[in-house]
Amino acid sequence: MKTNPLLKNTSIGYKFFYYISSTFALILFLILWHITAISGKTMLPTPADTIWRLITIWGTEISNQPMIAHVGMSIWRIVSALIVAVLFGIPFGVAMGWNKTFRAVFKPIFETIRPVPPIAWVPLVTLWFGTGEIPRIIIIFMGVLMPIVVNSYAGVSMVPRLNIDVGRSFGAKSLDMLFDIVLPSSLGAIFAGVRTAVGTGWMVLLASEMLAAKSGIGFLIMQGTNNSDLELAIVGMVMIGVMGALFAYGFDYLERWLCPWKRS
Amino acid sequence: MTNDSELLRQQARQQELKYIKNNKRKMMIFSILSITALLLIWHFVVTFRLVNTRFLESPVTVINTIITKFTDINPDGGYLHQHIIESAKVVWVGFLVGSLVGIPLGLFMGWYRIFDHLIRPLFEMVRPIPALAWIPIVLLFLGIGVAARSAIIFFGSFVGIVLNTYVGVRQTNQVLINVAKTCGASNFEIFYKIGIPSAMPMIFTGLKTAMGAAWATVVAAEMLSASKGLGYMIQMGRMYGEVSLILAGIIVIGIFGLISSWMIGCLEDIVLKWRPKNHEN
Repeated sequence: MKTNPLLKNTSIGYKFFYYISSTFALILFLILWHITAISGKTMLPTPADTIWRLITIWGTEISNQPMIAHVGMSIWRIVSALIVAVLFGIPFGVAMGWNKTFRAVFKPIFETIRPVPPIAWVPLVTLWFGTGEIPRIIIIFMGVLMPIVVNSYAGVSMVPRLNIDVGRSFGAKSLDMLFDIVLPSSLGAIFAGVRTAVGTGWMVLLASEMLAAKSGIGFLIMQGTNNSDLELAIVGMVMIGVMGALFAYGFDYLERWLCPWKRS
Repeated sequence: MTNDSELLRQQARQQELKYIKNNKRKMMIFSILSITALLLIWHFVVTFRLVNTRFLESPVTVINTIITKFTDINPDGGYLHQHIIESAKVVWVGFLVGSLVGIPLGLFMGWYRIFDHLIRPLFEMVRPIPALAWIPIVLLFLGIGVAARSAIIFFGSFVGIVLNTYVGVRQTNQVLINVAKTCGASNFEIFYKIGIPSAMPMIFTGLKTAMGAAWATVVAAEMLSASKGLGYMIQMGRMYGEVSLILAGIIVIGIFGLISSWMIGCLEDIVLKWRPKNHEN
């Protein structure tokens, strides 16, 4: 841990102020929230009530399902969509970056589909597959697939020319080069793609759960909004934020484990 | 002797260029073929009744729907241009407010440590919450309408803009800062004359990502609550079981997403004229 250069040769009073200041904005935010809530002009619950609800909600049931089931449902949906997208998207993107013919055939199709936001597919997918778990996972899959394919493709096509030439001089076959040179050097870009995909995934998951679902965090937010139960809606917001942050940290660790050379 | 080798080298170079050109042409043909094949398969799958027209309409019908939708109000109660204008309005208002707040915030957070220290905890709290999750709060304060939807777009675009701007200003070359310091520039002068220009490319990256996010969010927001807009239109297409309207909506959304990011690309070219060509890509 490096010492903060701002804190060198400063008085204890300044140090104290420095550490207090980081919580200053948070405290101000909570005070403003509280004042807005008790002013009675809106139906906003007070921060204390919301925090209390956040704690007690784990012992209650919402729409005949315990809180943990809703959270678990959301996690299951996003994880299964991510796994399918990784299994399909990485080979697809790598093939697009590695093989010229493959790229020429599939890149134009891919580029035509790409600018359409994943949520726009919701009506079409529900029309084709109905409303159930599978269509919801398909929609999340479409959302997370794009960044994974794009980054895998970019990673493979940006492998330094020199590395490939070295491989060729040493007589590596095409497949050897793919697995020993190209894949390791594009792993970082692929991982960045997966990380972006996780962010997009939460967004799409939320949209699909808010539009039509009987469980999940998005359902909780919608339920809270429709029943004027804003505590529930805010608890849902907090939960989705916490889950998103946890997933991001999880992927950071996974990346450090898979790409040890990136540890610094 | 030297002339001969020079000549040989030139011939080799010309051959290489010719090869590259031929290859490029071959790839172009492949690309055109693949798109045509896709459209043909789509068309014939529908015309030979391999799928029910309840589930898929031919590309010709879809293009027809796009054209007639400009003059036909059915079944969703709006012309296509009204839907487009409504969506574009929401996207651009939310996006502009997002950039007007996000760029300065990112710049100050990146340059002034104390500012970073003050804002960061709050920002980190807001950051992982997807834009759509703000709907209940936004409904509470702004009701239903253009303002509410723009506010959701604001949340969708703001975070990406702040993060990219922040990284951009942090990556300012230390040598340039030292030079300015040696020449006696004040901290604010360095920030204004070196920090901000260095951050510009990253700011534009942020704007482009944010624009994509804004279009994705507007579709979802309009599907949840709106009476106009492209998201509303495709949702109505689903309600009335009109596949051609859904597909038309998807295509129009894609096109307008592209146009918006192209506009930002043009702005980038104008603002970043000083950047050497072929910088990236």
